[in-house]
Amino acid sequence: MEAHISWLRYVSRSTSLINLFRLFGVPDWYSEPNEINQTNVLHPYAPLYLDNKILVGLSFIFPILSFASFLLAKTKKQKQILSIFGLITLIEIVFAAGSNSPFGFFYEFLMNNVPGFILLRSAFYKFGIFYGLGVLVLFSFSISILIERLIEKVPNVYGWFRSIFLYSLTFSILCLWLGYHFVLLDPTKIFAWKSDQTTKLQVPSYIYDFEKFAVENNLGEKRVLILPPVNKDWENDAYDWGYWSLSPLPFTLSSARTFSNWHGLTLEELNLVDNLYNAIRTNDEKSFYDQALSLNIGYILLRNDVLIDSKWSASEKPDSYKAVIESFKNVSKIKTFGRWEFYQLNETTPMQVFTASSINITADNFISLANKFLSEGYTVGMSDKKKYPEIDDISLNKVYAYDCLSCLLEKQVRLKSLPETVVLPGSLFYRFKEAREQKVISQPQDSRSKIANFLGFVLTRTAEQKKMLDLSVKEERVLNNAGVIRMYLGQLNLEIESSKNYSNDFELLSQILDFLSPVERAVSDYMKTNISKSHSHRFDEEMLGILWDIGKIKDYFASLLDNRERWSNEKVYKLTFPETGNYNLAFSSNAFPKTLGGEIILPKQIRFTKGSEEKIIKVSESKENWLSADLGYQDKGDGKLVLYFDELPGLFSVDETRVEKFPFGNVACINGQIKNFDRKRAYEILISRTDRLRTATAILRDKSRSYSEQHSFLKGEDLFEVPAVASGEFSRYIYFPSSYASNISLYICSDDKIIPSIEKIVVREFFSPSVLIVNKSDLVVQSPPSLNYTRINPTSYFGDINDSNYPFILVFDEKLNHLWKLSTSSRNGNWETNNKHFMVDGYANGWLIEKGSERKFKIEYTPQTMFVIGVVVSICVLTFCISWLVYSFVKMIRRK
Amino acid sequence: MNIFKKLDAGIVRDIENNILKWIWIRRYKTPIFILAVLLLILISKAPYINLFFNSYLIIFISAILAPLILDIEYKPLFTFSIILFTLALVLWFYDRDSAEAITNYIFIILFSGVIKIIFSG
Repeated sequence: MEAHISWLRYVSRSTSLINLFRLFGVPDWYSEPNEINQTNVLHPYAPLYLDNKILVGLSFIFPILSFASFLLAKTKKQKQILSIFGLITLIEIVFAAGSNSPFGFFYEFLMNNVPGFILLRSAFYKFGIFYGLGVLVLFSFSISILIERLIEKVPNVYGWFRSIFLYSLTFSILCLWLGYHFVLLDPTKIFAWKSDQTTKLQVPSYIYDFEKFAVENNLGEKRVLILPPVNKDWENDAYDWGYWSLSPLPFTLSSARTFSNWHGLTLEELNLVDNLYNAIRTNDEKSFYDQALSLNIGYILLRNDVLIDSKWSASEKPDSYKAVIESFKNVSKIKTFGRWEFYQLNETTPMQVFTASSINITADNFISLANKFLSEGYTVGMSDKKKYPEIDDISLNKVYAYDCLSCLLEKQVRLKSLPETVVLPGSLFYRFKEAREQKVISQPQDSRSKIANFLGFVLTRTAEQKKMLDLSVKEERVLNNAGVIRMYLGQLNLEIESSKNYSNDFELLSQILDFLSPVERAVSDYMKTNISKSHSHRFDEEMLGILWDIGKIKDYFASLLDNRERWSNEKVYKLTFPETGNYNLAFSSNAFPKTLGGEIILPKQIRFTKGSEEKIIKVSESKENWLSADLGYQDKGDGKLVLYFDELPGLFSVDETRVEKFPFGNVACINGQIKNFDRKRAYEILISRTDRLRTATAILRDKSRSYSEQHSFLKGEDLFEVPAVASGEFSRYIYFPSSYASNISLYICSDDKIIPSIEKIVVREFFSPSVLIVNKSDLVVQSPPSLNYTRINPTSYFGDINDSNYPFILVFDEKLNHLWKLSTSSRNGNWETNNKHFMVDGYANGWLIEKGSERKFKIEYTPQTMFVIGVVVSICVLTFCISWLVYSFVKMIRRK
Repeated sequence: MNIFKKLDAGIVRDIENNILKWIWIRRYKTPIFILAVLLLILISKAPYINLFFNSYLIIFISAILAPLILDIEYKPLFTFSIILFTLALVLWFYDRDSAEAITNYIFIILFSGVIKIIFSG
């Protein structure tokens, strides 16, 4: 949702009412947010209209003339029509403005709360056209009336003079209109998209040759893998002959079922595609071939004409991919289309529809991890298993995944500041808030819910406290509120201390820190100010009491909070065994940190505790990149697993010290590169700085990247303030690199030309490996029933399945969509729809089918039927209309 | 003193008379309008409603109510909005923020004008 709101804000950055009234506001015309010059100077004609004073002045004529129409209207009918279009104009301008002021909050509210409204995230493009329609009617009316009135004033001297004047005036107005839009007549401007790209281009003939070949050879049976991959950061497809789009060209222009890392994929699907590309990059033919088979890939399309100019939207070079696939034994070239080369994977049979007699089950968000671990079988999510419990009868492995609990204490607190609050204690309406608080407290709840409620109330009350102090509200009210906060903290403390298990509960502690850290910060920050000294002694006592109460709650968790740094080397998990059975433990070794030499750092010890039993576990590499161990027979219940690591290597050393340019002046910075940087990993940055007199800022940036085309002020991917700490202590920051980060350097800058005084900087990997526990059932895997199918067209498949004495799964290897329907023929020949439809392997369609004799099946995409009905209805209506017209015409002729 | 003697007070008297007449005709409607605005301000402070109410929205709703309650004609509203558009045009070259702020209020005037036409049939 946040990403959609960000996009809305980006698109709406230029849609102020004044721009929309003047028929401006196209986002491409304007520069990036926060740029000094608001005009996009790279746009072929935006600077003309936005910066030329004459054209700017003329642009105000549109709203003036449009709304003058209401003054020019004389008849009631005219006023009625104009008022409707006026209302359309004014309502649509609110929507076209999107998140821009003054109604931006309303649009964002709709985005957040109205289901489906998210589709309208590009507000300007969706509503601008309706606004244009309304304003055009008003504008045309004014022009029309003005012409009429002018004509009336002209004397009709010879009978033709008035007509000549009318045509001349209309023609002049049209010329003026075209003159204002003169860029429409200039092909170099109107077809220019960016400074070096155009929207008018000739598609090479070999693209159409490929399309023809795909149709003639029925390539739709298997998928076509596109090489090289599309640009990873922008997910765009670009060619050196001018094509640029977010949709890959083979996908747009051909009927072949293409397969690439384009933006339409989910994260799970993107992982599958990335794995396939990585297998080619690492020249791993076996892995590539196995994955290609399971994804029903039969062909590879190598495009040698992709854009490889190393700019922002360029692809990888095709040469390296070509060398690798031509070295594969199971891949052979079958045809060349101009600069496109087409390869086939040998000995593969179409596998778009197939059956499986067993499946693996895991949590929905761990399907891709489980698939990596269990190379055999197909995986179904836990939510689908709950929906269709019969799936359990054919489950072979149940994979349970757990995240590291101690890692919660390593992350930064989620709430950075206190929430916004409007109604304050003392207000008439505050009674409603208090009544709600009392109602929530009085409801019977479990201990965790009570704790969550108290935490929420403490946070809200502190926000109100801060606002009351900012507004200098009477001290009595502030004191009362502080008393309530302390009361809630006291009840919270009692609730926590009532359970012995809470003192080692990482999740609870993390939740408490999330809520109480902003409270602690707000109160202590206020107590440091001079204004706090003007309050009474009782005020001091209550405010310090809040801090004291929070300290008492934290003391309860002393076993977890003391020596908190140890959690970077000690990873704690809570393993839940939902049923008795034999379990295996597994880790992906890729999730572990690496040495400076690039080797994986394995845990020095793994300790497993369950009940009174405690044992040291030895892991071994059971398969490539996977470490596993046998946990043996386990009863139902919880266990604790702890991974101990040696001290991680430091990845930072100061490379240079220099003066950098900032918007507010030149400042001294020290910088150094993060060694072995990998954008897929996170980094913990520890800085010890005791100088409290001056501020320091840390910036993470790629030295080789230009962050702005307009200026060279020091900018980066991420930025944070470095707080001063006591000697020997560190401030912590966890850096999660963006998807395009590479070769990141850490800059620490002071606020003047004096080099920042830093005692120590440590940068090390922040890692939180997930652990899998696998329970293998005693299911005897039968061979699945065989099936034959025919692909009638891309939306319809027909076939038959042999008899089966046990339930099985029919897998349809297309992106999951619940509009795909499977129907099977029953014994009496009737078709029955199978509703047990779920996701297989995180992307494909699967249906659970009961045992039974041989039967026929069909898979159909239901909207296609609606489309066909729509076409038939449209043809009928069109035929009727034409017939009616012909009939009326003939009737008219006969009458004459 | 001669200047005052030459001053034609008739025009001032006419304006005063017109204003008084305008107020006298609406002597019962003005308190209703003030009451409506006060009610609106009160509602805007209510819990949860206050989350999406701001001063602009109060002015917006009040401006829609004004021509309906006080029976103001739509023509002065559109004339005023066109004058403000011209002012925004001049201001655009000196202070864009002010021009934008004026346009936000022009929107309110136009909206109340259109609503007035619709309601007056």
